[in-house]
Amino acid sequence: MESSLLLLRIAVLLYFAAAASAFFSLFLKDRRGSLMAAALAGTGLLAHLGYLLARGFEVGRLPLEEYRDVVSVLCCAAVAVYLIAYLRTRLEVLGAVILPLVLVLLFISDLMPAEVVPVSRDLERALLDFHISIAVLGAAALFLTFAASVMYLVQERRIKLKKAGAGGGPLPSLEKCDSLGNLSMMWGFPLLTLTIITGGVWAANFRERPSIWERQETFALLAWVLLGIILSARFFRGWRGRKAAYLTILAFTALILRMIGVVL
Amino acid sequence: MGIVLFGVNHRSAPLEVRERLAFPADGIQDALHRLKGIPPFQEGLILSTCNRTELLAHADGHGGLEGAEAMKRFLAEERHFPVVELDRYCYRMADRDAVHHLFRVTASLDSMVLGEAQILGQVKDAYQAALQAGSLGAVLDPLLRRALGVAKKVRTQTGIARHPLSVSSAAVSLASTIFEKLKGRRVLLIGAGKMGELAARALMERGADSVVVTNRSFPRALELSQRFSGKAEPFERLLETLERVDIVISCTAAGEPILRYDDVARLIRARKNRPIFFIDIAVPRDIEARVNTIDNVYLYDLDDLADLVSTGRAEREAEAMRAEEIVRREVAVFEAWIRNQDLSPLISATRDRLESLRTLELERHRTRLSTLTAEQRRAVEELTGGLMSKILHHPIQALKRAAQLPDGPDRARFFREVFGLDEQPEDSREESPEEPAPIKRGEDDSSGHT
Repeated sequence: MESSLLLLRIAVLLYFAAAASAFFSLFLKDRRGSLMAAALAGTGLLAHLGYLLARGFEVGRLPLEEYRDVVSVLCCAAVAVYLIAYLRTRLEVLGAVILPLVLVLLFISDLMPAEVVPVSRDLERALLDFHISIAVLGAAALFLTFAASVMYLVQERRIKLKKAGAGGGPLPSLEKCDSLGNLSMMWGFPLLTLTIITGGVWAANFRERPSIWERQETFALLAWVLLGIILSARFFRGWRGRKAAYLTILAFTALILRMIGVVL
Repeated sequence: MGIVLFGVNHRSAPLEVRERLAFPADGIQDALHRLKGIPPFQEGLILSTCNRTELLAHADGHGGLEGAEAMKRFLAEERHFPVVELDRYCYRMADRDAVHHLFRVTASLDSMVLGEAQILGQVKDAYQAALQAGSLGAVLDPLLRRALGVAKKVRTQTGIARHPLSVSSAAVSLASTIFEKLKGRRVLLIGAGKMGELAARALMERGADSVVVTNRSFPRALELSQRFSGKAEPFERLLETLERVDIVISCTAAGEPILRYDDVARLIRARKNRPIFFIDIAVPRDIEARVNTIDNVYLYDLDDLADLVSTGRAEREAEAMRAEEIVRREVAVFEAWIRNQDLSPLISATRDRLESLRTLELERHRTRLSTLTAEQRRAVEELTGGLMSKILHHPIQALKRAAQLPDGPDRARFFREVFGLDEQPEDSREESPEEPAPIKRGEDDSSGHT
């Protein structure tokens, strides 16, 4: 327990340094900062994976039993998505958007009670593991969508207020934000759909009182409906831009609220 | 160092003088051969652009005024320019100042348009020409390569080349905040204003696909579109044309707006929200300002662009401060490097001096040593040789350290004195009295070399 926790602490420290470095790069306009951020986050990711592995041995299975483990896995996946996207697009701002969010989530997960979802049957366990895994993957993809929307909104505002153009700045073009957001949503949305279906199957078959609709699930469904609206409006009407970005951020927030299990 | 720079630029001389002093590109090779042939120069470089003609040369141990005078005569002869008049227009620099100037020039800090990219290519060309003419050597070659490296560093580490300086480049830079690539984008040019044409051309140069031209007078549109090898569209079909383009440059002489809020709101629906960028450089304006509030529509007018240009200029000037800092650091690095290089003749002269003393002494005692066996003689050789190296070790280290200090040349002179390097050796086999003093900077012409 001790050494695995140490690994998590190291990962958090490295993520923190990476986020600081990403901000440093952003404000001092120094490209090396973002490379440093990626390197630090990559090392942090290794430590984080090490922690999750140790945690897996500890519980003797996939570490997806406690809520806080689930959030930890989610953060791990989000950092991986950030690294892949950074290496593919060289967008220096990504780290400054995604890493702080990961830190906040990890911090919240640390405060969570070690609550284990009671599971009785093997089949139920397997279904739940599958459900949580794809939920985590989908959410990790949507981290990127979120980052793209934030970048879009900031850049759009700069252009509308006639503050862009002089030197370009670190933000990508609107077109790039748009395509990045769209691409990641194309991954995130089907996974989220599958998550909701498996969640429904699990609730219908194994929950003691299947009639109870938990408030948390409302958030998941809200996120799904919003993303569905955004995607279909885009597909059929070419709907995009500022309002779509706001809706995307709302959908992502709903999803994160569901994931960290905050009941309002 | 012995580096001398002599020349004119856009600040020191009017255009009439600059054009007379400019070297034709095909004559540079020959001129370099002649420059190299002039004593005391061993290396030379000619940088000749429309804004400057600069000669750079290296002469071991010679610096400052003396070299500059030879250069002045050379330039006057080459370009058939009266020598006496040259003084009014030329500047001359030596050593550190010359290096500093060259670094600034290459980094475009001395350009008429701060941060322009052309000068880097011109210095590269001058370097290539000098390489071909074989007029570069141990000092100028590394110096030029360093200058090009510094320029690249300045361009990547500062924003000196990033900020737009003209309405056209502002339009290009704005377009690339909206569209990831200009490639594949279609440009519509409304009206026949000169500035509009320039902006459209700038967009084309950066990869925009095609230019469509429209004008109230269709023949004029046709004429202009031929210059872009693009298409002309009748003005009446403006709204339909707008559906098919991404960037619009409007530059008509109309007294009333030609595009109103409602037109554009309808347009963006027809475009299925594909973003469109309007550049309105007409006065009075062609497009209602309110259009900018529509989502996915971006409108910049002449004032907005002018603002960008003036901030661009200010930003470049601010970035130039950072660039100057980089240049200063790099000059110091180069200076330290060259000082170390400068030491090598002195160090080898010292070794030679001691070596000659050693052989002389061994020679003197030859009869007394003749009784020794071959083995013993070798031991004496090794002993004296080792002793010599040991004696020299610390002084040479101290000399190297001293070379980096401001009074390095004085200390080097003292070093020469201590080892008697300037004295006529008893045995003149090794050294000639004309051995030039290698440690000398341009500023100290007092060092007494004639």
